[in-house]
Amino acid sequence: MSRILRSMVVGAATLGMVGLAGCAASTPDVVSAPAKVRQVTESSHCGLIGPGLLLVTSDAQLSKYLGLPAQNLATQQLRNVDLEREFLLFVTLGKKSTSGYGVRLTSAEIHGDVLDIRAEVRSPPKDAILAQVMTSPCAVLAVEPGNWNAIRVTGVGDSPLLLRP
Amino acid sequence: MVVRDVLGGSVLVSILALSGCGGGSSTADDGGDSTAPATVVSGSIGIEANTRVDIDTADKLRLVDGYLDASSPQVLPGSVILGGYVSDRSGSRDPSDPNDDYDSDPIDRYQLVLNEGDQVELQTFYSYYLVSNNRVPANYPLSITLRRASDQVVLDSAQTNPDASSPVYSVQVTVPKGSGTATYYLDIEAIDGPMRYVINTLPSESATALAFDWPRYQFANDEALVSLADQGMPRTLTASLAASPVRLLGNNTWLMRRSDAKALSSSGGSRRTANWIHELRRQPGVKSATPNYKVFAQSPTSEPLYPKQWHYPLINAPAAWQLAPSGGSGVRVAVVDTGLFLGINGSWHPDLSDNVPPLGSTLLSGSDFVSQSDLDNDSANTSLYGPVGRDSIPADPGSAVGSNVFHGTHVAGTIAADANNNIGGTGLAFNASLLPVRVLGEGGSGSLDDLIAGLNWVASGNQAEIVNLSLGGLPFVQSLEDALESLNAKQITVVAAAGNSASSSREYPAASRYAVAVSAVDGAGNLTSYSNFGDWIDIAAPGGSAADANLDGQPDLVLSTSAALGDSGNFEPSYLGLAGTSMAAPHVSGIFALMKGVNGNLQPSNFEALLKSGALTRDGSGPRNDQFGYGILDSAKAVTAALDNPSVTVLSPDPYYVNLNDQKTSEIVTLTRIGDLSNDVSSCSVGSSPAWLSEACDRSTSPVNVSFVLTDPASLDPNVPLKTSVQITYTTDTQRTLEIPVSAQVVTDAEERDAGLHFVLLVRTEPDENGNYLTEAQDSVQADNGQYVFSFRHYDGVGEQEPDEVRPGTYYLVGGTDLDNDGIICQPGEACAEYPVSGLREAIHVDQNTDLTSIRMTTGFSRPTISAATPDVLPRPDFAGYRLIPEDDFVRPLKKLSGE
Repeated sequence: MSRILRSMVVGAATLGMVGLAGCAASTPDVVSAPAKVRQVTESSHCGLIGPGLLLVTSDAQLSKYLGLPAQNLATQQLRNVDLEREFLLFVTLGKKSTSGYGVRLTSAEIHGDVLDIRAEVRSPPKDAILAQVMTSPCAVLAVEPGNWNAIRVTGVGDSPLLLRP
Repeated sequence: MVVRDVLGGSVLVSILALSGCGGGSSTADDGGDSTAPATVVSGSIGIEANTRVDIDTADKLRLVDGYLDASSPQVLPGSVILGGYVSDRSGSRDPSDPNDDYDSDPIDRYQLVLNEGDQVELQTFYSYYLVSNNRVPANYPLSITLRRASDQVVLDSAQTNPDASSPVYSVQVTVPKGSGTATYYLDIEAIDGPMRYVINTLPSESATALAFDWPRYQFANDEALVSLADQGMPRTLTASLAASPVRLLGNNTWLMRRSDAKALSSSGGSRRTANWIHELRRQPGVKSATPNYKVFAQSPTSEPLYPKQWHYPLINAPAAWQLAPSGGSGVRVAVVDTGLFLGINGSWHPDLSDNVPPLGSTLLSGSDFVSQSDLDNDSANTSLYGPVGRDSIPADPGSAVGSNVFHGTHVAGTIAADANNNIGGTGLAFNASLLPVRVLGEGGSGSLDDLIAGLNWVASGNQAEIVNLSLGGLPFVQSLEDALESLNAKQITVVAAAGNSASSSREYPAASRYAVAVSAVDGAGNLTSYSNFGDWIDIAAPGGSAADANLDGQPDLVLSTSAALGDSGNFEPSYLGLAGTSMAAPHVSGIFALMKGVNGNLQPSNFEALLKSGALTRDGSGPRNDQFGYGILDSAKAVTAALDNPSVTVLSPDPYYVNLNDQKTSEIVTLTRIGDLSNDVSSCSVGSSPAWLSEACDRSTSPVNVSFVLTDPASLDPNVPLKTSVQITYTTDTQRTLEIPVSAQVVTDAEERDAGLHFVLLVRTEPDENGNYLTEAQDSVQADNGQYVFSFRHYDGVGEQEPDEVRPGTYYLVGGTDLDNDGIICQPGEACAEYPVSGLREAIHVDQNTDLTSIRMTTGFSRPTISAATPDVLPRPDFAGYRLIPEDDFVRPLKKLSGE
């Protein structure tokens, strides 16, 4: 495990992933750079009913979230991610009342010490006929650690979602 | 002026002391003719089981100048519902209101004993003030961290999220597997501003997964299946053990029979055979010897996943299956949906395939109606799914991006999954034919023209007797109405999902006069939080929810056929729990198929007439209402109503399941005969059950009943849920069996329950412009021996009105906590009680002659739901709580703590 990732895991564990109050305290000169973020999968049934971000850094955590009720993720694709090298970021839309919703990664860049992830939400057309099933859409991203200390996800709500691992 | 002590036990003393005080009224002591103000309303408020409260809530902190010694963790029972408060800062929500200030309380720590697999759920709630003023914080408001007490290692953590449009969220932490039973700390930490929260523990799966009985499979006496190491038959088998080979079954495995069997006693055969097989296994050259188990024709309840299909007993399906053993054979149900899962080998889901026309069948000709290229995923594998655009392969290719749940496959499984293949679960009409009609494509979305084309196709070819539509989201559209009318004209019955908008707005096609609109209930028979309702609902059926309303330790999701990405990278058949009115509608379609199977003459108008007569729904459903329409589906009643001359007699239990606790240690289940009523119940016996339960069947009553008694509640582990299933064997026209699920839990915390400092109010019956019910009189009381004791006195208009004095008028009597000290009680996350029953408050008139002095209410952090038991409960979308009397209205403080 890299030194940076190890520190993130520890931070997530000891802080309970609660360092979410804002961007990094010290912001160096803002420099844009590509970030190593890829979408592993997405599903309309993730079982996570609260909208927001969820960081998964261990197999134990992953197993827990793959065992949620009403969840139908591409399990094997997620298990194939080497959590020693990358961690998983669940971007969740929360509970939706029908089919037709989804979320996907569109871009990722590093701005200063913030990993900026842009996501796109898919909603059903207004005149669509929809399956009347409760859904919980999400996208699952694999993220390589880098020189940033906060994740900001835009595009999934009125305001950005911010997470400091 | 009298300052009343808030301790419940001191109320009497305080009231008596009035006679020696000045106050506003004349008293005997000052020579007047009148007496002290009379107590006109008084009583007690009990507390729901396992209820606790954070020791340093905002209202308490304000009373002690912000300091409470919370340095030690607060000890909680293993099963708990607790209301609390945290804030990372002190402040005031509304600077103009001096009474809503809050103190800093950044972290609450609790200590409790948990088992591995146990979950603790955290729900967070904002003050209505913040929501109404658009001041919900932008960041995560609360975190929950689970630590092992012995070394404080963090085992799990989570945080809740904000959303101003829906300010209630929940997350869970879980004790990892392998942790055993140990003491843990739970830390609730504030991130951004004041928050109320509720935590509750959820039982582990292990608490319900234990077996209580020895295996009781049946096998043939004096027979065994013997596998040999070599081809030769060991001589010892045929000689000393008298085993004669009967038939070679292949792979050196023989069916053997005892050659001396005829000379043996006819009794004790099972034990003798078991001993014989035990000896066979010890012989050299024998690899294995097993009993020749008897194989029985499968019934729906024998399917391996049936025990998880709680939604079938809820609608009395097992009794219906006895009345309609053909399982809807000969009836075809069109599932107009996303199509069905088709494996890479070209086979339908194995639990559906026997009931679906094979690929290439003329029945499927033109049955895939998804025409738009952006909705049709056939391009994923056109050789398997057909070309993009309309075709004759109504297969569900899954979503182009991500995965889906194969919605149509799930719906079809509820209607007609196979009950005779010993895989998966069962469908309600397990022998009915399924006709997949694909109108929904990518992401479960479809277009109106494809839907109408699909419906017209079914109508024009008389392709089915019943059409299930687990789809919706449309306003009234004449062309859709015309298509539905065409189906109706062809005597095809249409069943449709009411929709998941938690709204009374009409959604089509369910709201059409030509469709049966189905709302959704959870495991307790309550209307689910998402289900639509209104005067257009016809019937209710299980739709499921992620909560555990039936208290069986599992989420109440509807379990049915689905598919998931397998290790091969291809979709593979699976089973999945889902929730939605999509899941409720196929329950009705399945039972209609059972009915049609026993009476092929039933037409849509017959279904409608039976529905309106109450023949399809539970007894006691009462008149039609907006939540359940004509009631919750009762399968046995429905099938009975369909039978012209029923030839069988089965017993229908009421209630369908038994739930016992230390307050209710027994329950009588009545078994009503349905079907051919010429047969009496000539025998009735109860099968084995765990030691904590005793049962007896009584045939002397009419109807026959079975009593269930919790044998020794004191000997049971408190707060541990127990469950079993009791088999009742009875004889009517023939011998039949019936299973009744039983759950039990003993709660032992009656005296320790505490929901926090309670304000008991008499409030006006109409809210002000802000939605608040203003308070006329107020009492504040603490829990004592698990209850709150309150009283109000009559105010005669003389002198200054005390806070617990009430002027003549009409009021609601309510009580609750103000954990975040915002001056409002009964908000989400705060305890609440209403007279006479929470959710069903009734106005009371108070004057000097009122004598309501033995009132009994119940408080807790949960809220009543709209259920079959409480159909009169109404939604309160704009309810903003009950506002306390501002402290400045009185010279003395209203809130006072004793014993802190």
